[in-house]
Parts: sequence; C-alpha cells; structure tokens
Amino acid sequence: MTDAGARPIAPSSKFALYLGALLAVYILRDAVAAMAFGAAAVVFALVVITRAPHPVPRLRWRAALVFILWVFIMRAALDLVSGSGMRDTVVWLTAGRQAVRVAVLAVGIIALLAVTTARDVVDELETSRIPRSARLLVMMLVQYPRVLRDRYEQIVEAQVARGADRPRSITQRVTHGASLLLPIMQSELNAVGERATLLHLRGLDSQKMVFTVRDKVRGHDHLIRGAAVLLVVAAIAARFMS
Amino acid sequence: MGKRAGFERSELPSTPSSYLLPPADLPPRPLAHLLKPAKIVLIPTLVGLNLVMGWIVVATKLPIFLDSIGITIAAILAGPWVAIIVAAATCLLGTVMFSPVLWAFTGTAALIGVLSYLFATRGFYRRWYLAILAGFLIGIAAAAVSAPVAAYVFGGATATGIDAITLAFHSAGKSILEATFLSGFTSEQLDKPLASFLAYVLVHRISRRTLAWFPGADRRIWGDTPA
Repeated sequence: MTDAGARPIAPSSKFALYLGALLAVYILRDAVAAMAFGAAAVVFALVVITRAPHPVPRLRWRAALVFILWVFIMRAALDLVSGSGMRDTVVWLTAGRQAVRVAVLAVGIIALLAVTTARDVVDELETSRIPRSARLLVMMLVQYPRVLRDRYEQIVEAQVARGADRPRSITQRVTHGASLLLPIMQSELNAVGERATLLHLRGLDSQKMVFTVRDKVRGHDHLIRGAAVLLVVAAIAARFMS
Repeated sequence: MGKRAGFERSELPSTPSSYLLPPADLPPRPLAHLLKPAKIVLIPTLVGLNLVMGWIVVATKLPIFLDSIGITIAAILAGPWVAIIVAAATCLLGTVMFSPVLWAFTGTAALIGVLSYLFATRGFYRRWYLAILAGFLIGIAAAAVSAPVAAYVFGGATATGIDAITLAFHSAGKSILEATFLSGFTSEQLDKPLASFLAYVLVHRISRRTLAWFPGADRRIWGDTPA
C-alpha cells in the first residue's frame, strides 16, 4: 500500500482532519460561509480520492449522491410545506447548508476509506500506548463486521449457485436475511465462550502493558492534527462574530 | 420457558471470571479490568450483528433499523457499560458502512443499552411478551432522545424512509421538533419491540458454555428458577 521507507500519515490524523472539517461545517451558522467552507472541503476530499491507490466503487458514489440530494429536497420541502414561498431565498440557503453538511459527511467518509485500510488502523494500534486488551478489541471491531457480512454474502451466493432464487422483493430479502442471519448469529454467540477461553489460554488478554516498537508521532501528523483543531476554533470564532 | 430440558442448575460450570482476575501484584487498570476475554469477544460479535442487520434492513428501504438487537443482548449478558461500548461502536462503524447520519444517534443507542439493562434486571427478558413491552417503552424513550438530534443536527432530513412521515406531520402543522418526535415514535414502535423480541430469542438459545462467562446473565434471562 505504501512504498518501503515512505512515511504514511497515521489513520488517527486523517480521522482528526475529517472530524475537524465536519465539526466546522456544523458549527458555522451563516449559510453562505458554511456552503463555501463545505464546498472547499468536498473539493479537497475529491482530490484525495483521485490520488487514492484504489478506485471508489460506483455504488458508494451513487449512495452519497442520493443521500445529499435527498437531504436537500427534504429540507426545502419541510420549509415549503410550512408556508414559505418558492422565491424565499432563506429556504434554498437553509437547504443548501444542510446538503453541504451531509456532503462533507458522506464525501469525507469516502475519502477517509479510500486512503485508510483496516490494516493501517491495526498497524497504528500495534504501536500505540493503549492497553493490549483494548487494542485487541479495536482490531476485532475493525475486521469482524466485514467478515460476518462476507460470510452472509457467500452463503447467499452458494444458495443461488445451487439453483435458489436470488432475493429481490422486500419480503424475500427480509425473510431470506432473517432465515440466514439469525442462525449465523446464534452460532457466533455460542462460540463466544470458546473464543474467550482461547484468548485467555494464549494470554492475549494479559493485563501487562506489552509494547512493540513504538513509532513517535511524526511532524506531518502534528501538522494535520493542528489543522483540524484550527478549523474547529476558526468555525467557533466565525459563529460568534456573525 | 422457566427451565430448559437437558440442563440442571447443579451442572452449571463455575464462572470463569473467578480465575481471570488480574494478579495481585499488578495495579488495577479500569479499562483492562472491564475488558475481560469474554467481553473482548462479545463486543465485536454484537457490533457485527447490529451492522449486518442494519445493512440488510437499509437495503430493504423499510422505515425500521433493527440495529439495536446487539445492544440489548450486550445489556442482558454483560451489563450497561458493555452495552454502551457496543452502542458507540455500532454508531461509529455504521456511519462508515451504511448510514452517514448514524454517528449523531450515539446517545440514543447508549440510552437503549442502559434501559435494556434496567429492564433485564427487572426480568423483562424472561418472557417474550415482557420483552416486547420493554421494546415499546424503549421505543418511546429513543424517539424522545432522537427527535432533537434529527431536528437540530439534520433539520428533520435524515435520509431515511422516516423523512416522509416527518414531512407529513410537518405539513399537518407540527413544528420540526414535534414532527421528528412523532415520526420517530411511529417507526420506533415497530422497530424496538421487534429488536427486543429478536434479542429475547437469541439470548434464550445461547449455550451454557457462553453464558457461564457472564455472571448474573443467567438470572436476567431465566430468573430464579429452582435447582
């Protein structure tokens, strides 16, 4: 993913920047300022996405676009049904501000996922100072939902390959999902005890602080985290000055 | 459902946590003490359940979520703190996986965990009809806590099927806050009882070996049945 010898940005720094931009766009009260800042943040995210090593799936783009449009239309509709006129600029500014906020939210997440893999998160955790049990928990949290979803999809595909109909209607999806997922979850819950025993026997739940080689926080990580804080502080100042 | 066939209380294994206490020479560490092996395994399992269930339900476009089953199970098995961790992790990872607005409802999810625990300690998950009743009550609380978030953070538009109901209430003359509460109340009364019932079904089928890792869970699920 990263060339040997390169100094990648830590996932926590990327997340801090995303969080800073998101908080800033929500803190800004003035609609025009929020839209201008949000547009800049979205453009930045798009630049990041174009330079990412892996392309973003089309489905994710479509979902984000539908989400942003939906929020814009619903926000405008809520004002229009309460008696505001179509020519009232406040209606469209409010809808635009809300749409830009969710655009930062959705496109920012896409950018964050495009440049951060589960492996990056695990790598950073391995060199962090948090307790070993907490590190293990976060690693499992990052990996497990995807494993479970893949298992579900593999069973669906296996059934389709054996001649079963692919669930299409809402009723089919619900009944199919419930009939597959509940037994899977039951077996996963029943396996908790055995997995916990294995964890304990291997000493992975050790209370001792075990450090591997600890990376120092690098200069560019400090810079990015500082920029995130600055964004939030500037947004708070702009809110009180407007 | 008071007593299961094939098991006698006297056959229950002793609680594994008794030999998993940290050695005396180590200083107590609150987080590490909280994260015993069973909890380390249980939390990702339940977050996975919530997320996959939420992901399937989102794909059906129904105005329900079903992403709180794992939170309720966590509360019944391992108590309120684990339920809060499951709630927070579900909301944060769910934001990335399928719903960009989910992060804002972390407080609601945590409240569901705490309320589920309180209901579990009062025996609401020992009978299926009490589990459904607990779901109704949790639904009312969840709608009340979610309404201000939906109204002020998202302006009433959360990009789910519920927005149409919010619009209908708003066009009927209700304020955004009232409309979001009423729409949330409408959908939660379907979602939370169903989630509570599914949680009831799953916890009542958990193996003895898993249950032995969670002190007190047996009483919350089965009550004080005679040995």
